[in-house]
Amino acid sequence: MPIMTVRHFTEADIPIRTELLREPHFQANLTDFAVSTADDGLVAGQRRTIEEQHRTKRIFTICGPRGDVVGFAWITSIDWRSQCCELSFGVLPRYRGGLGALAVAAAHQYLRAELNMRVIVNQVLDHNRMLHSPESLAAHQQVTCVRDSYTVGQWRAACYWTFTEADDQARQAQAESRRREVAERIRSAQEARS
Amino acid sequence: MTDLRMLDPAEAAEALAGTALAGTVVAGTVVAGTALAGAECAGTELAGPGLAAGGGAARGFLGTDPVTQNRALLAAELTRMGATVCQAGDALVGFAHRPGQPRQALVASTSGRPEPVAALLAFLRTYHRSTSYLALVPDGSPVAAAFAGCGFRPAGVLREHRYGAGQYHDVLVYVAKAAGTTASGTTAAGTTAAQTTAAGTTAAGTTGPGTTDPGTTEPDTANAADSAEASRCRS
Repeated sequence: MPIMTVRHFTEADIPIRTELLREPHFQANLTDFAVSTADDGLVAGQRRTIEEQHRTKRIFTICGPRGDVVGFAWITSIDWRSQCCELSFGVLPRYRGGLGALAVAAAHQYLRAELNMRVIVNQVLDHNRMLHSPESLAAHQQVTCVRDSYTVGQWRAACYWTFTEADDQARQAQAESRRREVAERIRSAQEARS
Repeated sequence: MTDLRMLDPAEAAEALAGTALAGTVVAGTVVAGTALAGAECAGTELAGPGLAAGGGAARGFLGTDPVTQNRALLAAELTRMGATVCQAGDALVGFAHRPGQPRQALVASTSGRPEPVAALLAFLRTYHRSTSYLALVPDGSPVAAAFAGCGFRPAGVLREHRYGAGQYHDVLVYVAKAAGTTASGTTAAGTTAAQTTAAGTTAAGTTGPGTTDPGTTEPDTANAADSAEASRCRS
């Protein structure tokens, strides 16, 4: 049973994402343009992305084990020739904290394996603690851009970093090493009991 | 004979699109979700051994890919290339004419069985006066068996032509020529799709992939007549 799947964003998903765009934490952590946009405008914008903006922006729906919508990922600043894009996330409030990291991993895997993206640019406003602790953010960030965004009445600094193929290979090697370590520990415990 | 039912581009995209994207699963398991998993398509249930079982067979169909293209983009691509997609039993088949040689059809199928392809070839020969056929099939695809079963011959390999599931894949070029094709481009009466063959008369295997033109052994006058006819159709 897969843990997370990524599928194309469809018209049926628009109401769920519109609700997310109006959610206070989303507006503070990503963008608050929805505050001053009517429902019709939000729907039209997302429909335009589905139908027309394939080369410049794509939205994906992240689903949980039972196919329930966990959140959305979208890519912008797409440079198809250089195989580079910026990846953004919005996780629905009820799934925050638990499945966010898995959603990120699923989106990264899709972008790399199917869209052939070699470099993925991550951007997180530095007050945003949804997916990264302050320590994690400090470890990842390569560039800090002060006054990058103005959300909910405040200027925000943004942390930027790239995730490359080499990073992905290192992450996979680390995960495999961890898996082997755990398997070895279990095997040793079983042998000690028998 | 398998019946063909024409789909409009939106219906075709719906049929090609999957409900989940392949290769996107954490924890090492891969979902092959490129095909329609039992969803409704214009009132027809495309379940069971059809597209759902086809899995990755929809990838590369006339150059499209439901894993990387959403339904709107699939429909736009099919429209752009002037493609026609048909429901053939539990499979999809499709074709697009090459602008430079309208008597040659690029054909595709989602099934490994020859019957849907045979039905398509019969249709193309009868109603479009097609004289030769070209198919681009991802290496390892079960669909190759359908073309082999209809007399297609391998003409070349497009090395690492397609990217998916984290790596580049070869694409095989198959060609066939309609049996009984005369110098004027007409086909012999009563020729069935099963008799479609690539034997003897094509340039298969003698030219490089991508430039292979299985119909080039035909007299130029036939192509000129085709072009004139196509012009009349467009005007």
